Amino acid sequence: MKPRLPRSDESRWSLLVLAAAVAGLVLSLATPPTAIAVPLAVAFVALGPGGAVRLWVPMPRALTAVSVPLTGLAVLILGAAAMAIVDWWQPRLLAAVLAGAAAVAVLVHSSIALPHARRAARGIPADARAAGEGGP
Amino acid sequence: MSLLEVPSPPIPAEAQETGLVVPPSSRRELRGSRGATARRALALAAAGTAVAAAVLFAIALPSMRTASWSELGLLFAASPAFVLSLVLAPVACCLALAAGSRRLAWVALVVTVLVHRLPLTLATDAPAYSWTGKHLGVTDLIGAHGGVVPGVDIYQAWPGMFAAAAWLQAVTGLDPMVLAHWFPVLAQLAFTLAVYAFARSAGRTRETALTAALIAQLANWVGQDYFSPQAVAAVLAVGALALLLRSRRHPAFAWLALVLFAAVTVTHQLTPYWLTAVVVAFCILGAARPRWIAVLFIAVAGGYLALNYDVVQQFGPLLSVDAAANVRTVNLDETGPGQALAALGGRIATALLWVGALLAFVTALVRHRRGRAAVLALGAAAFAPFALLLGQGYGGEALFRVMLYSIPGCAVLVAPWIRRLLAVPGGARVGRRAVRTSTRRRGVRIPRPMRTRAVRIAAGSVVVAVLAVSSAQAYFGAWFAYQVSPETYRDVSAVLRSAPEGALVLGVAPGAPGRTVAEYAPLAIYDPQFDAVMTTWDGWRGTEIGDAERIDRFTRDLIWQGRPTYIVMTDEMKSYSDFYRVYPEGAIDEFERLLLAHPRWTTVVHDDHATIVRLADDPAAG
Repeated sequence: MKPRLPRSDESRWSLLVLAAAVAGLVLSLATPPTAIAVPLAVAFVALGPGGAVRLWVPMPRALTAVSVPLTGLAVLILGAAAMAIVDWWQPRLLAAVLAGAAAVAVLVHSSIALPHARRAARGIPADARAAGEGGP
Repeated sequence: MSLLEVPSPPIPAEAQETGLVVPPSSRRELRGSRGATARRALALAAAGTAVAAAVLFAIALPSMRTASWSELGLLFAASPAFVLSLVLAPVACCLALAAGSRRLAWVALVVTVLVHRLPLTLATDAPAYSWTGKHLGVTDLIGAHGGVVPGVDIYQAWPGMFAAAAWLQAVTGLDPMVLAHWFPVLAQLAFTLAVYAFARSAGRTRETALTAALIAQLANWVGQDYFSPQAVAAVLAVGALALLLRSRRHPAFAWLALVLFAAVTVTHQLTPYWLTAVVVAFCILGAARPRWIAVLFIAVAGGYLALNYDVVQQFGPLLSVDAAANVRTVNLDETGPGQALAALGGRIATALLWVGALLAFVTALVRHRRGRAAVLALGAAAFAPFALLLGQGYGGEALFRVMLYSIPGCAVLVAPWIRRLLAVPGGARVGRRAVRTSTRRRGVRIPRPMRTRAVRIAAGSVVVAVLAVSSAQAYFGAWFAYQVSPETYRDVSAVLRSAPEGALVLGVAPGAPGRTVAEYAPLAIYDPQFDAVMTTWDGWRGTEIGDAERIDRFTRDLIWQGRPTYIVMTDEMKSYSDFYRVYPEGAIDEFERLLLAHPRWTTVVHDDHATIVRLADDPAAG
């Protein structure tokens, strides 16, 4: 029987960041009503960029609760300020770029880090798997 | 106190009889059962107090909306239930901490933030503080123009928060007025959470970190939390400090902190320099790693300053080493009882925080010889803001900024002391002494240490309550001077939109919003002082302006200038003037009456909230 893997912290964060990235993509492509767009934007900024960083840099819970949304806010501020300063105002493009970057971070993390974590959870050494000795 | 009235756990018969000797096994049982009962009672009291605070706030809310003008502020004008809710919410948090219930403490902390900040949103119809209008105007300008307009004002060189707000408006359609209206609640919740994370990063326990967050919330009477760059910068800065303190073990956090710092740098003029000073101290003390990352922080702050040096120079010298002058504040000349009381509240809250932090800092330095670097790092976070006074007056606001920036560090330093007062009963110290001496109250034997703990919890709660009330008086004392009606926002915006090039839009007194829409930019480019307030003119402040001869004279001067001229007079200005004694009572009303009757002034707006008149183009007008 295939062993059931515990859903790791990373996979939870991967899902959250992907959801935030989708919210960002929606905002960059469509104009939903304000009542829908505001929660989407909040979710996107609060979880997207910071969550993507959190995937790669594990941190304590108290720090996560602060640094994830603040990283998103900081990235948004830097991106928006840069566009305003160079007089090239593309808010939807900024949303698309940040959402895309968050999605790419998740995909790369899933392809690199998650398999390692799963192997660790199964107790299979990574090098053994690479040598064709492992497998469920 | 209810704690003392809870049903006491069974006390061994021997102890009841003699009050002196209890076998060791019985002592353990006694300790465990009494502690658990006390904790349950405290938790119950905490929950009840938090609910009571929320209910009292809800009861008081209508009275806040309809409160009549009072020079002493909202605490005196609204229902007493409001004051009770302001006190009970933090006391509930103290009781929850004493009960050892973190979840309940979190709930009480959130209730505390809400009862202290929601009035600005729920009891008003528009964002408070007239200067919020300027920030709305910059946001509107970036959205409308598609970028900043260099040279309009200093905000164009530090557009971080405005650009982010404009982005939010662009992708969601959210009116920045709505965002600004809810901003104090959101900013203060974020600030409180950031202080909690900072305290955790500094090695405090969860309970002590919660205490620090509570203290930071209560001590923050400065009112930076409106729709402003410094509100955003303060939250980002505390977040960066939290990350930096964790970088000793994981240097990646220092790089994340650098990202937050970069955002602070493009958002606010002053915050990066305080933060840089703290970062340098952290790196020197080894509290942040890699140590050389301080160089990057200096490079970011210094580089951005160099890019905008010409803008900064327009506002005076970069360094003003006259510390005595820098300490002076804009609005602390106690000219009225309301202002004096608000200032007193601020001073009490500040003194409690600063003196407590200093004592805690010195004590920790003496006691913890091994961990002095960590204590010094916290001291740097708490006291580095005072260095700002050596270099900048910041337009008379430096002292407020020092207070704001010192809050996180001071709160984390003081928190263990308050936490110790609120120590969970039933701990290891309940033992032999618990039964050696006791007293009777309502038939229940109450051992002395338990009474002592009750006194300590009460003392901790009283300190917190005093901090809450004094800070709230400072925060809400000038309530009526800072309220702005949506009608005034509408009227001022309409004038700015229709004002021709080169127009002057003069305010008779501070208190009304200006520069609320993007159309202020061409006017500001033509004349940066296009919206001057008449109190800045020689011989106006404090004098009887409702004088026909004076009005004739200044009207002739304005005609000679040959520029389209508007004069704005609003209820907000009258409230502001009455509070800060800008003009004698009733002077603005008389000034308004004379202008409305003057042949050279035509009425643009005249309603219940505002009167705006325009200098007639045609000498025969009127």
